Amino acid sequence: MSEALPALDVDDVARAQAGDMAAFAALVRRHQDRVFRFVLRMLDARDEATDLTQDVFVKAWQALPDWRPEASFSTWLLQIARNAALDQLRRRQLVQFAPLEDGMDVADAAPGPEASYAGRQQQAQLDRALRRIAAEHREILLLREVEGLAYGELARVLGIAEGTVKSRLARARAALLEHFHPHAGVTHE
Amino acid sequence: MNSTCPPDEALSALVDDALPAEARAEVLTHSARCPHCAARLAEFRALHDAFLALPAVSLQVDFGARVVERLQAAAEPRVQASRHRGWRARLRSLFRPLTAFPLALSPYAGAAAALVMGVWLGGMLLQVVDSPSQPSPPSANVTLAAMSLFDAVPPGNLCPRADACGPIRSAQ
Repeated sequence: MSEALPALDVDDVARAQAGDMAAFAALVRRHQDRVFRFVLRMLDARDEATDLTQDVFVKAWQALPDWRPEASFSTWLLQIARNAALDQLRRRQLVQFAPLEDGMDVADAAPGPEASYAGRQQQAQLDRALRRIAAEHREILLLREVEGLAYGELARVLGIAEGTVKSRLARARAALLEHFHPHAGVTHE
Repeated sequence: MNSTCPPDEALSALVDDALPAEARAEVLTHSARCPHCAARLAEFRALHDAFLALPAVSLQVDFGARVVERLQAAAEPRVQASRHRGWRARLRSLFRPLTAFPLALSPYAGAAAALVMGVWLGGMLLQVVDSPSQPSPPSANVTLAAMSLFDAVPPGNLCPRADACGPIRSAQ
């Protein structure tokens, strides 16, 4: 994320807090893909993720008076998205480890024509492996590896100490490597 | 793996560039001569690269407009409801605090009614007797009609002696 974006966010949030819906719409447009990407990989269901992404922004609007510039708006949004995704998983009673169907691939996983077959296979297998690990491991890996959150931000989003972030990330990586071999692109069953 | 091998936590933090310089140097030096740790570190790094290679996911839809529509739709019924309220409804809303809790108010209303009835009935028992010849304080001219029931002589009977009857009768 560029340096200009947080400043733009702060400006738009201030206007949105004053009731400017156009400013809030701009915030939604700027962050919708990030929230959707995270929610989609957490839930592994495109329609559900689409609806939940909208819900996340509605919740963000309602909680907007509580937002303070000390926290990055984007990180704050991911925190709302993470809580919403976990609630949804709880409703589906899948918060405990439960392997999903192997055939269910992320809808947008199809790469461009330039991507090699091996690369596509590896991506599909990584998606599959992600579905096989516990939700608490999946969320921390997605937030760190895909969204690029720093340890301090991870601690804030997940509500844990930074020391716990370090150990949980190591456990999450170890758990993922049980199902995914990045060199050969094959899964260990 | 031996007892000097760094834990997964250190290798994982190394991949994230989250180790202090000294610890980082130690882990790298160890991994250079430990095939097990070198392999583990390579796995963590390859995992990181695999995540980077994941395709971008995009909504391809303007959620800004959708979310704002949804927020406005949620706010609309409340605005319309207050706009279309007639003067009767507005008047009723003024008295709502009084009528909202009829059950809570009823004991107080009952107590007040009982008090008023008590004072009224008590007032009916009081009789004022005029005695213009002898000036006396007003309280002396007031007696309770009900007390005549407890006179020694029942109402309508003759007094056996002049002083046997009450002060009112003797005055008469």
